[in-house]
Amino acid sequence: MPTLGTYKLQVQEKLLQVARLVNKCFKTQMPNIKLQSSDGETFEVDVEIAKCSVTIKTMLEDLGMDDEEEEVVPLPNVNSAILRKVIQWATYHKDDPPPPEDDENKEKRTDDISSWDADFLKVDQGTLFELILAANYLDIKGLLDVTCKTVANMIKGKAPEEIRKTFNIKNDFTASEEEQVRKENEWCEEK
Amino acid sequence: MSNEMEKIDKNCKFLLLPECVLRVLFSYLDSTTLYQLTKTCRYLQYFITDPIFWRYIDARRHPNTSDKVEYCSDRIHERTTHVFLKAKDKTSGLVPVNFFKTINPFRNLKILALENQRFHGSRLTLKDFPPCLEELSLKGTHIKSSTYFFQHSDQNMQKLRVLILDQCQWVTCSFLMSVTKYENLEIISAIKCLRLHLNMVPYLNVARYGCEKLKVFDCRFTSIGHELLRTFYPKESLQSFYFQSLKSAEVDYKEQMFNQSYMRAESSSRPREGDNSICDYSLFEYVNSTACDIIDKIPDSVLYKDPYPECTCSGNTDESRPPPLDIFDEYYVCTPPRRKSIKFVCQRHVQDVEKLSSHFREFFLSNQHQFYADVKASEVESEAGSSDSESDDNCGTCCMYGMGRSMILLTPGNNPGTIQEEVLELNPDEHEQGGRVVSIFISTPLRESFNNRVSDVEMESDNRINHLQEEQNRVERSQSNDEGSIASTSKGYTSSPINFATSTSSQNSVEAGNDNRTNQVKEESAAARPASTSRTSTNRPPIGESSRHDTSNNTPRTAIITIRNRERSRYVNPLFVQIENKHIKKKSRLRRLSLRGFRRITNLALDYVKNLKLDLIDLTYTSVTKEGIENFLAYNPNCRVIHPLEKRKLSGESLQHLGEACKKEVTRVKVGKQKASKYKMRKKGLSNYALQ
Repeated sequence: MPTLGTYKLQVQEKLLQVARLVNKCFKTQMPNIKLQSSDGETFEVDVEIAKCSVTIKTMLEDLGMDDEEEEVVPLPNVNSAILRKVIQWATYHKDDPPPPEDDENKEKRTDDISSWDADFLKVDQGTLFELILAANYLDIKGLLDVTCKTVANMIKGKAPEEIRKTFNIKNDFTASEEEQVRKENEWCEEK
Repeated sequence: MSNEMEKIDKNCKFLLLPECVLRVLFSYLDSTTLYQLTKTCRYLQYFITDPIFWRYIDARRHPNTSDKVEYCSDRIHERTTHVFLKAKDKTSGLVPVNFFKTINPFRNLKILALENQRFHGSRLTLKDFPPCLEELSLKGTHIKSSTYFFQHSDQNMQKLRVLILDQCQWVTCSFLMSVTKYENLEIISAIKCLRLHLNMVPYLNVARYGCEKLKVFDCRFTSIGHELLRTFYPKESLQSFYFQSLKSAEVDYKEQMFNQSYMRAESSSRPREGDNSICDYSLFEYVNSTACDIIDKIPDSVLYKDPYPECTCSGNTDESRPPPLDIFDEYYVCTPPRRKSIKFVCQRHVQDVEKLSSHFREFFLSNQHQFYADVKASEVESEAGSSDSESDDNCGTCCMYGMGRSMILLTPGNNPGTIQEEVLELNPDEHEQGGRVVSIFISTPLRESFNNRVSDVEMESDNRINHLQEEQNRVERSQSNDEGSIASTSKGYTSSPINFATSTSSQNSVEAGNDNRTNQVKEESAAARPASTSRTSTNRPPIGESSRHDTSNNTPRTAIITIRNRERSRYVNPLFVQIENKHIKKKSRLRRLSLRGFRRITNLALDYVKNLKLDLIDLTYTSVTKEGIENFLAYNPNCRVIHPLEKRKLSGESLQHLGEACKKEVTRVKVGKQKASKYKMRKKGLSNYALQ
């Protein structure tokens, strides 16, 4: 059973770590950390850039990385191609203000994607989905938002059949259900 | 759920996205798209029933099938806050009446938009709408036999902040009867309600007493603007008035052309513009208003789109923009007596001076010098020697008003910015029932008015009279000269119970002594009484038609404004007039005014509103000139003037001008004076006049 004393020590240690971390951030000029993708490639990036990923940020804070330690952060869910893109995105957006809090009761716009982002996301669907997954795993809100907006724009204004085609969704409705859907589409096309 | 998951095609990357990602993704989709997604596969059909997607229901996008409307209204749940439904056009309204029964219990529903729907007034009234609504839009919705639609809805709509009735042809002004009882109403938008002008006068006059929080009244493309401006001017809460003439819609919306075909088809029942179109006179009442110090922000709304969002073109002017200037503040502070007193001589009561108790008459006559001296003293202080012609001017006002047996004498106080009130007891026996002195404003002869449109601070009150006079001149001229085109102006006058008659006299009277002046007042009044409205002054040089809007009318004149009723038979209660005029010190919060497309708005109108410290004024397609706008901007340097004539350049120039003045002078107040005297100088041609 840990005594109160040991707890205190632990807390002190943690605090020291945080203090060191803060010191590091302010004093030393942006140290690099190494990120390792699922296929073994390592990327050296600024800590500040890496920290736009909440996952990495908390990881660093929990581990309390020291200056001396040349530790590599493994990211088993992200392959090198995607990680490169993510780092590219994060580097470009490193000075962005934090995204505003979500308001459930507000219409979310999808047409406010910056031109750089739009160019950046001109990729095939597979890459786009992997970027979404990576953004989700790394917890990069900005990237997740912009990729979701891109996909949302792909869905918007499309009929069910077109959506199925776009995303390769298999129609699993029964014939009668399907008939009803078809009828309705006809009706609305007439209109 | 797991069953459904297992069935997902492993090749479909879209469906393999984790649920939390799909939630984020779907939060970017409107309800129509979600509805379409439910038709793609079972998994999504199941997934999308999650209530989290149905808090904000925006199903306005095409296609608007009845099935979709049904699906979406089934999804409305306890925590839904927004519902937007829209039919493709007015013939295919889809929302069933029982929809309201469904949504009625949901107390979180704050915003409801039902656009292009069709209802029958006998089956649906506003009472059936959910009582927690904060914003309601019935844009383009048609309600058949709508007589009782708004009736008794005030209990149900106490929380309503925004009411949008755009393009509702069935709405007449009677809707205001109920709507003005809504306690929290801040925005009324009635764009293109083409029948709004029917019976507007009585309803507007009643409506002005309600709606205490009303801030925005958007009446573009209606024809109630003139009446609305005139009836609603005492409403303190109003911040924005938006008007646009029907004709300018063709210019503005040639491309987008919203419902232009409908407009054409309806042309026979289209309200005639002209009689009720906004002209300078509509804004006349605002002469007596000053800006309110409290600045409220324009209320925000989900449904109501602000027609004038933040200006994005100011990039060029920002750098040279001086800090916000309250350049005329000192003036406001230092001469309230003048601001309070429109120089009215109540025709009826000029003789009452004689009827008054001898005590009072003596007091009045003997103290005139003192009054004028007082005014003069404060005037000299305020003007600080910025004009050279002040010395021989006897400009001043004393005004008296009385209620019942006592009479209050208002005199300018010893200190600038104060008024002394002296209560005089009237002799009861001389206080006759007809001769109850309600208001007497004795105006002294005006000094030479070299230019009444100069942004001359010190002469502002004089200018007002000149404006009145000009208005009157215009009326007179319009009556005598061209009854055809400007007949409506005079009509506007006749419809009002009071009539401004002016009389003029030569400049000589300025030099006349004070005692003479009183006599002269009487003479003038006596002369004015029998004269018809088309009387023109013999002293005034005839003003050519071309100079109708000419601002530089250098006629030396003395103006005495009398209030009197046109028809002898009709009794105009002077008390009423006085109450109206008591609003002189009225504060107005009006910040935004759009007069887009009204050709009969001239520089004069700008002069009327210059004290309001507007933030924004839209003068597109009006008859104002560059000079007029510049003069206006001298008073309102921070006003955003929207005018097609080099709008940016104009304001930039003017601001720069002010900026330079700012550098020269140490204090801001002096800037105002300098600016004012600059204008004065320019007009007087006293270029060698040294400011220092």
